[in-house]
Amino acid sequence: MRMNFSFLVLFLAFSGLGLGVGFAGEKVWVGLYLAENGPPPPNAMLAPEPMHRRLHEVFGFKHYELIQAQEMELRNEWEQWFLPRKDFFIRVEPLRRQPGEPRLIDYEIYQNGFILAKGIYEPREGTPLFINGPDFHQGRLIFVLEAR
Amino acid sequence: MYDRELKKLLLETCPVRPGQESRAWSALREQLYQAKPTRSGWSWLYYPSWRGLAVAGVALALAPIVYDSLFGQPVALATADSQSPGIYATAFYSRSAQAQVVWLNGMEPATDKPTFLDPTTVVSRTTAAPRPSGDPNSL
Repeated sequence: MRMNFSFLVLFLAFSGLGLGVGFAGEKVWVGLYLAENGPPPPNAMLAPEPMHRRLHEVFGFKHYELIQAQEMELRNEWEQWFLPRKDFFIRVEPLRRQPGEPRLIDYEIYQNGFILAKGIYEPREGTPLFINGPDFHQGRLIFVLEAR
Repeated sequence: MYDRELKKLLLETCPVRPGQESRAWSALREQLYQAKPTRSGWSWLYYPSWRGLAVAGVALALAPIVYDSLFGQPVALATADSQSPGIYATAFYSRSAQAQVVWLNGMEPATDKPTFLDPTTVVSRTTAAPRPSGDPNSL
């Protein structure tokens, strides 16, 4: 009986390692937050507590108001745009997934219609991507990409 | 013959193996005092047992997870390359936030002013330049 229990513990320990990789990364959630230190508007949609804690660790603002969000299907391997503002937006293009390789997405950041930066991101469950945007009034705009 | 010489002779002819004295004392103590051999609480680590095997297996399974959480730097999940002069882009992993961060420097602050995406080609009559008075044909 004790031996069976030991094998069960070992099996669970090893099998859990691959679960996150196997099922993660079919969708990516893209949101634009406005980070501020002043009091947010009463009807503002604030970041949930886990996200707030992570954003606060990096950017240090008191409040993170969600301006707009969109969910993108990564199996659609063509470019998709997220335009929460006319002057600051992002282009996302899921790259073709190679067998046995993780899903990668190509992203480009635009401000006032001009490309600022580009890069590649591998969406992973539990590891969001924060993109530091321009200052806005007393706060700052922040893109968040998160695997769903 | 002195004791010292006798001991030296014994050591040369019959060397004491490591642990022999302690094992002999343990056996003698068991017979003298009817005492059970003393084993520490961690002695199961040194003797092969199912318990030790199970603990070793679990430790082996958890070792990569613990190592990764303590020392592991994740494989680069994001890259960032500047595409505009004056813009500096870098990507790094924040361990405290457990998030990948792309940091852009050199951006203009965002404003509420209209951008080039707003329609600007329509010119209203009120904003049209007033015609010069006098000769209507003059430029």
